[in-house]
Amino acid sequence: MSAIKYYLLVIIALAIMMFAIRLLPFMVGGILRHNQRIKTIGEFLPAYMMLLLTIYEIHPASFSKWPFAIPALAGLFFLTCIHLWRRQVLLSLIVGTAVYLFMSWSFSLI
Amino acid sequence: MLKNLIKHHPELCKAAKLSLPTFFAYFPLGIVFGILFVHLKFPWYLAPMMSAFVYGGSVQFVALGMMVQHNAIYTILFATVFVGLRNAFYGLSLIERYQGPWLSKYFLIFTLVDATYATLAANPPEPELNDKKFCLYLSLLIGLYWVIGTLLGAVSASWMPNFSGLAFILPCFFMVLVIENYLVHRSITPLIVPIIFSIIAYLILPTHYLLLAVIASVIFIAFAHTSKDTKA
Repeated sequence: MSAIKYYLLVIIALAIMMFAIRLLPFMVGGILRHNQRIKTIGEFLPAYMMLLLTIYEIHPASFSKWPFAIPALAGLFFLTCIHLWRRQVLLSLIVGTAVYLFMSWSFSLI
Repeated sequence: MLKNLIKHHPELCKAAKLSLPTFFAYFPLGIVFGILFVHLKFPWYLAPMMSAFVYGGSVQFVALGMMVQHNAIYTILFATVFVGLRNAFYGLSLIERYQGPWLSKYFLIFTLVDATYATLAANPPEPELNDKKFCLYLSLLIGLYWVIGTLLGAVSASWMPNFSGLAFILPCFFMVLVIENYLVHRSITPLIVPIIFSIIAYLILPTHYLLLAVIASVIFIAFAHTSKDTKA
């Protein structure tokens, strides 16, 4: 099998897999649409998912080695403070990311 | 012209405005993916193709490392299915909202990624806007950020500077939604339980801990929140 053909097959296989994964809840949920438990999960999951994704994106592995995720935690801490104060999404994002970038930059200098 | 756009396409404007944080995360991340793709000696045109058809950041990054080693396709599928499987729970929140003509419905399902899910969950339908149009524009825009970012990274891999630090805007975005959700519902459980589940899941299964934590959360919600609902 040529390399290009192999790459294309991988992409097609992954595309089908991702579509099937995304379709799954609509198949299962469509049948159980009036099931109270499915409704409850659908209603409350976003709140949990947001924090799970926040943790996922700061990479738990970074907690176990220097600088122990300090730049990420500092960024999120300042973001929380500024967001509770001004409640402006873009401002909070800029502050959080800027603190993270500055801290990462200063740590890599040491 | 801009006034006309706002007047005649309020759904597009809302989608553009609400997808701005995602733009600053997915676009640079797409560039990073494109650069990495070309640096691993794959043909550049396959990068935007993969981003458009697979359309799952973490799955694509994991698959890339395995494609380099020419792993068997079923091995790649088996390794990435656990990375992508968290997407299987997103639809549960959108079953009613995504009903409609089959083409738009399947397009919305195919383009349902972390940021789309987060944005839609934080912005319930408004009565004065066509929500189906809004969902379509939002999904399309976020997909374009990712694919165009990838294309840009792939064609300019040799001279593009490293943007990867900007990807931190993504956890920032999710964190803002965590805070907003707390300010609206004043519920402390979603602030504590995900942290506990993440730690436990990471100790048990570090490579696929997120999926484990998602499943644990789904089970927790199904059993912990029902009593509250029947009372209400």
